[in-house]
Amino acid sequence: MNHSELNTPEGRTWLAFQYVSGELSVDGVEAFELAMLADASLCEAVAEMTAVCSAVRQLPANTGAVGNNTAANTVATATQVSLAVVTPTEVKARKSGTGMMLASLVTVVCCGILAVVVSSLPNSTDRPELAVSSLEDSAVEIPAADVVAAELLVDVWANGAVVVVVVVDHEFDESELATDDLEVPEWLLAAVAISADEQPATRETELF
Amino acid sequence: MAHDDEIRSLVEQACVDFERELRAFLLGVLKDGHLADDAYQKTVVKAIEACSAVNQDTIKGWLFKIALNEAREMKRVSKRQSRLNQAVSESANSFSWLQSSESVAQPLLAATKIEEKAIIEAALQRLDENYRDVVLRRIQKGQTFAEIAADLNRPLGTILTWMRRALLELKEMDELRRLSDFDK
Repeated sequence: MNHSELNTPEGRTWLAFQYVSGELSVDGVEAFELAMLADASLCEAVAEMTAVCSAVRQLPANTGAVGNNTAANTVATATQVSLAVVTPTEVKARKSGTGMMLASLVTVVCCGILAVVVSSLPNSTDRPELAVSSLEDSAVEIPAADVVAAELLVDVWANGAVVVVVVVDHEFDESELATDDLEVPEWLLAAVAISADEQPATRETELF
Repeated sequence: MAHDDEIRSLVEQACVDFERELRAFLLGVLKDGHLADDAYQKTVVKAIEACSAVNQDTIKGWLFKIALNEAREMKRVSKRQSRLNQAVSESANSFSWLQSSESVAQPLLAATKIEEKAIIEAALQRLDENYRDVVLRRIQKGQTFAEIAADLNRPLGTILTWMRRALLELKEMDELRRLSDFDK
């Protein structure tokens, strides 16, 4: 053991490390222990080095090798480097992958709902005109429902998918009902009215 | 009498306060977890027995001295026991199940708490890449400095310098300084 090492903090730390890791000779160990008896700060240095060495030994094998870019590394070291580089990336990928999956799922669901809404309103782009003509020509309820459907469709595109999910789904039934009303034109009402007037009488005459 | 009780409770409290450091120190000296445990118990007993001699200002160093004396005594006993065991095993042409250097070092692995590991891992990350590499190779992989120098294609002196600087930096890092507060 070099006694001059005891005079500097670096030397004391170094000797403590050598002592803990068993690198001192038998005489060196004896001399260092005698020095520890005279100087308690050496004991503290030994305690610190023991804690550091113990902790480093327990760390995962690839710890800290991320930046290991020394050119002359062995194959084993190169493997360690690649592992270390991959590991944090994998962690990030897992985290971002979960987020991506969630985002994709939401997007797909929203697109699906949007598609259902659009397909259920096949002539929706023409509806405002129809609604106007219907307003002019026919009953009041039909164009009003159609206008609502058209507005909803505009909202769908204007406000985004989430709004579509909440608002349009609710309004969808009403517009569907309105569509049913729309498909009951005068000629059908007239036909129903005629059959209602005529058929019972016919049946009655047939029966009696 | 009241003064003696006061001193005694002071020493007992110091044994609790410095338990972690004393245990780490004893582990560093003895390199055996069981022996270190025994040595710590003996240190506490000795300290309480000799509490009248304590100076409050130097109580920590005083405890370390007691611990070191206990550890040295245990090492002597252990060496004698080891030689005896070796003689027995050689005479019986027995196996090498006696204490090897690997098994001696094993308790060191179990000495650190999870929090301490995290702190030391963070401290390692703050080291220069070359320093960190040498520390990990020497302590974690158990490579000799000569092997590390050969692997990294660097002079041995450079590797030793990196190691020394790394240890000094680790020692000075606040994270590691806070380690001693864990058990308090």
